[in-house]
Amino acid sequence: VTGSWHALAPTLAAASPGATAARIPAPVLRGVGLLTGWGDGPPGLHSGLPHGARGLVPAPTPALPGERFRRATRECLLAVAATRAAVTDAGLDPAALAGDRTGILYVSATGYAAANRAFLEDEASTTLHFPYTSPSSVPAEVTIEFGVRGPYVNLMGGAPAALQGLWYAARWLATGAADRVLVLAVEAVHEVRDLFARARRLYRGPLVEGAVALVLDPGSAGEIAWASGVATGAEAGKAVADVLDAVLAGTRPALVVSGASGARLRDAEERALVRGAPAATGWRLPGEPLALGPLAALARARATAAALPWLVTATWQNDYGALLWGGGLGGGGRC
Amino acid sequence: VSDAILITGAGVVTPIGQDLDSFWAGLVTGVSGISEIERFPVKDLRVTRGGEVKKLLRAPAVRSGEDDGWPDCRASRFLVHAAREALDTAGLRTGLPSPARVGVVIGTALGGIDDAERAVRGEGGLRSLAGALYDGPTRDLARWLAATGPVLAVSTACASGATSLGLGADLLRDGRADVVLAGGVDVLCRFVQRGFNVLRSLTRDLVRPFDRRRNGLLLGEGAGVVVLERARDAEARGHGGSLGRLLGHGSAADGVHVTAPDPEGRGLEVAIRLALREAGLAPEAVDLVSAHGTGTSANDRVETEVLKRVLGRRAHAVPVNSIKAHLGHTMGAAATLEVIMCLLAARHGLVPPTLHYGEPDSDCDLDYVPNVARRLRPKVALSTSLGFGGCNAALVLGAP
Repeated sequence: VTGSWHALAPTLAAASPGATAARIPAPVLRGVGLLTGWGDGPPGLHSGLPHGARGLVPAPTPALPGERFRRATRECLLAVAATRAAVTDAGLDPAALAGDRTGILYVSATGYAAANRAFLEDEASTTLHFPYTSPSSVPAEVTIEFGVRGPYVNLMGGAPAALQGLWYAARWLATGAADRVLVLAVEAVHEVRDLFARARRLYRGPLVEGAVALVLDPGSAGEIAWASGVATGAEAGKAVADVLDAVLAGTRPALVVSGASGARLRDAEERALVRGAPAATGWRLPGEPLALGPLAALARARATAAALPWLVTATWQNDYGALLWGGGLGGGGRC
Repeated sequence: VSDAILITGAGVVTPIGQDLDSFWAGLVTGVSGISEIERFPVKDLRVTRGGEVKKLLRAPAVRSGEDDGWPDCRASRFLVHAAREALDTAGLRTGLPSPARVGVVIGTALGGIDDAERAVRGEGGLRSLAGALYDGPTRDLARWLAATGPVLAVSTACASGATSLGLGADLLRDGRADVVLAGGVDVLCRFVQRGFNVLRSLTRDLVRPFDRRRNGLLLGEGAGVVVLERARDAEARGHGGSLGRLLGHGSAADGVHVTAPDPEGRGLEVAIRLALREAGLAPEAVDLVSAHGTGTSANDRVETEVLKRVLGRRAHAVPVNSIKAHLGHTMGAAATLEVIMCLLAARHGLVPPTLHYGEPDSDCDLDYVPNVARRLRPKVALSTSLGFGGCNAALVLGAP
């Protein structure tokens, strides 16, 4: 390869359309499990971060009984515990997730980092450690615990990846590939907090740890729309506006949960929302929850019984994404 | 037909060749890319061989002021190299649509692991920290392409390179992009060689998929990237030479063990049936299977059992091959490289062999195309993949 990474840019035609949103029938948000540094359950999101929180807001490690969890990593324990909470919130028996009609979609930006670092630094590591360096070990423990054997995808990245995950989950339900989908996000940073402290430019701190699980069922009303794009350089503001225009397409959301970080993206987002969502209630999740953010936003929106539709936006590095949730709600935010 | 997903271009980096022609020539003539590993220390490990890319023939340009952001990440360089060939074969080097209409979906089992090694040693600053994330190489490719459409990083372990193609096709079907570059990548490094070493999954012998003597895998490295387009878009730009069609994708969880496959292969069976359903095809339509075929006792037995259940009485009549003995197990790249193998088989009317096959196993009693390429032009191929975490994926591919 002889070109720089700019080499192809001049060959891109400028006349084609920009971002477009995909639309699909909305699923029902039947259950929520939320174990994070904000505190367990959506009420923790109302109180924000602990006073003086800096650097990292840790999540307590769940104590799960049984020999099988003796060697599982903290992120695996968080995942299983959040799933249990979501199943309880949904009013389901845990066996309701078993079988090949339940799909699982796992999202994380950091859920492998601690295990990877431990294996890199300890030449005496054994067979107990290496399997858990794979990101798929986290959802694997959930599938084993609950007998999930349906469609299965893991997406790596921050908050925009969680929007991608929600989209594909809705797609499985809409196409009949699954009858129920567990969308799961886990972030565990404590063991690598020194590395992330060196990378503060990548995120808006403090980092919030934890796990969020959503149980989604097929819906019969409303739709969701998703769009995303890379927002960088001089065109970043336009990219943000294009994504929001594509997702909203004239729809006025009642609630906006902003995940935009960085002054330039925040300003661009606010300008676009003044046009597209002038009457919406707006709030921002405290701290940097990475892939937890969009799922936690939906959890809180449901808990507050906010009017539909909801707009959830997300950023991670140069990615910007937006999801319009106009779907059904199950339960009542009991968790 | 207008909604069909075409594979209009492909590119590779492998231990047996760094372009489609040399990759194909190596596959059909039985070249093995396995050798002593030279790029990192292995003397203390039980197994010291793998499918190593000795030298990336056309390395990215040395940094200049213009491309100052180019990472040192080996996985990213593999991806760029493969993507460049994929764009060439698709006729898109000078004709990509607008940046917002170009998507990137890359699967990986290890992400930017060599950057992670640097970051943990305290080297490389912010660049190595960002590159160490699993989505680092995917972002680097998107940046090289100047693509601003959807960017997805997939990690379903060694099934990643299949899942990425399935999600990429969905982006096109949903109208989220007009061109998607999808594929897989992973690099051989001490981290993963040591990991499989402690698991005792590596063989000191030859890799012998489906053979009675098989006793483990060897790792490899590489990248495969394909260009996906809707048929109507490819036709509209006058591209008439697609490599094939991506007809269906399925994935499923085992829910049994963190590393070992389900002994009954239930997840793999679900993935295959979902892929066939999306393709709108019955199992009888399949006339080639590109198996995961790692050469481990469990994997090859489970795959054989599942193929017999899905294909039924025709199972013994359908050729099943594995190219792991040529390349080593290239992890996140494996499935994409196997897809490209299937497409080239349809183009050339020749199916690459399974190398080092000599002694039949009563548990593995299908037609594995032993040692010699076979004249056959598959119309519909099934590609199967399994990975850590109980990940299973299947793709159904159609000839052009």
